[in-house]
Amino acid sequence: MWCIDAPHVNKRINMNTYAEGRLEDKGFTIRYAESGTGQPVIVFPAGDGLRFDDIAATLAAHYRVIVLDVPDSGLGNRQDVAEHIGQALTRIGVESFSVIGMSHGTTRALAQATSTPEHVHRLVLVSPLLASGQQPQLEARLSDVKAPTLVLVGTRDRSGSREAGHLCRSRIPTCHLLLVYDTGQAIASDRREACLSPIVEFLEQGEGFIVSRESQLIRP
Amino acid sequence: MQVGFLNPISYTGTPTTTSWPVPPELCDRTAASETMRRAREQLCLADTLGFDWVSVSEHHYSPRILAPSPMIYAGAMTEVVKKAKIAVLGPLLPLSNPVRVAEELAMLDAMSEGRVMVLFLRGTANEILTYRSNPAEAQAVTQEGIDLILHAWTEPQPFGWEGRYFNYRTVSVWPRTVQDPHPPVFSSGNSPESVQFCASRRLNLALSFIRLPDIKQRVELYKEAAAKEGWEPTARNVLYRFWAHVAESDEVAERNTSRFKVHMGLARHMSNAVRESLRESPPEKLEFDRPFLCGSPSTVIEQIGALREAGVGMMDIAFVWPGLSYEQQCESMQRFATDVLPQVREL
Repeated sequence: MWCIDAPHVNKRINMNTYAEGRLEDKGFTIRYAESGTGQPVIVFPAGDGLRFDDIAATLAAHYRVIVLDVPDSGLGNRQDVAEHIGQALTRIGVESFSVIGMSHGTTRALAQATSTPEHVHRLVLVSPLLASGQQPQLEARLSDVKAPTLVLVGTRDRSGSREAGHLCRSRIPTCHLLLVYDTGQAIASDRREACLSPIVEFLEQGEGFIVSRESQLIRP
Repeated sequence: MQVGFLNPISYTGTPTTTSWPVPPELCDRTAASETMRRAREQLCLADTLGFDWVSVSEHHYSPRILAPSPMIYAGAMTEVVKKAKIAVLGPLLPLSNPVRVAEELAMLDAMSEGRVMVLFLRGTANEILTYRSNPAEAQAVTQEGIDLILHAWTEPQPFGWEGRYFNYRTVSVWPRTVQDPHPPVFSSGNSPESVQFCASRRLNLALSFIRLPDIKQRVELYKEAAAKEGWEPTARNVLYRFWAHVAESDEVAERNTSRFKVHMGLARHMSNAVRESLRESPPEKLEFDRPFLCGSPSTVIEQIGALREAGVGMMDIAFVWPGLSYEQQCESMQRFATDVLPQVREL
């Protein structure tokens, strides 16, 4: 357990301050951007390209954040890619890590959680895109996720994230679904603190994040 | 036209001050009990007379309507009222835990075998002081509360809620409502902003104690906003709450009601500093010199015709007015049910 000063989501590194590198394993290579120290957090962003966005920058004030640039195609099937990523992370000293998947990146994040369950500490899916029937193999493996999981869905999101959230909640054994009020698919853009606070609490406390630690005492 | 009976739960003791809050020492304990007995009697009468629903609203710290907990009252209504719907119009969300409200309404829906309808409100200006909520946030709190309750009734899986005003990590309402997906929901349209919200969520519109031109204006706004959202409300989506008094002639109705006026502004006795913070409506909007429907059956039928033309298809009626005895209230109800209701059913 490590503690983060409140308000934890107002502290972040400069978004341009990160190191770039390559993860390599048996001929497999992908680029990554890294910043921060502490418990490792692997981020599968929403799209292609190496971007260290606001969420990554905020988390990097407290964690060792590694943002992966995993092309959508050309690397083989997702489970194999996840195996390579697990091996390659071990080579750079990352044995146990949490995983965050954003929108289209959630399928990669889920593949990582099911392929290398022994390495994944916590799993966070933000606006998951898992339209029912499109990825039957992955859906069938949701019950294999061992890590405590948090799924965030915006109440104005009409992209299919809500249905994907229900699917995750019903099939992943330790999954918590969190509806973020008055946000669309871009939850962090719509309500930054409402997106980041529960993520940080979940990374810190796992399933214990459902227990309130706020005092109800008004005047001692 | 559908018609409900708003149970006034009028305090039967000696009339007290019109200021707010009213000191508890002025409440006669026996009269409180008698108030509940009479209210129950009126519920049964309304059910027998064929009103479509009986309703209760939430009010605090005064004898005006003795219902600080509409849920407790509605629970009792489910045992007394056999045919009419149970209308909780409504819980004050800035004063409530919305998840608890969702649970209690779902329980009521099960107890009444699917007869619940509900209106969520933010309360009159003074009532925000009851549990020291912030008046500046009352509308936003109410709207988020409504959204949360709708999710609590329809989400198939347990969920958490990261709101602006509400934060929960585990919501999983049992029982589910009997009505699928949930009971009919009304939302206040007394301000233009709230009309927009109502249309955007495809909720039914509820107006109360405003004048006919304002009713027309709000209904038009509601229809315009709904059209932008891709749907078309009908008169059955619009409810109006008001007072009525029906007598054997216009002259008698006038005589029965003309001795007193009603002023809705309970904050008006408070200091300027408090009233400005509470944002109570201007005094001219809050004073009424006669019930909205008032007169002989034929006059009242005409008045209802005007209301229907304004777009209202649901009437929630309180048969009370200062100076009217309990017997006069019941007589007015009965006259309405026998001489007016059959004539306005098809409107």
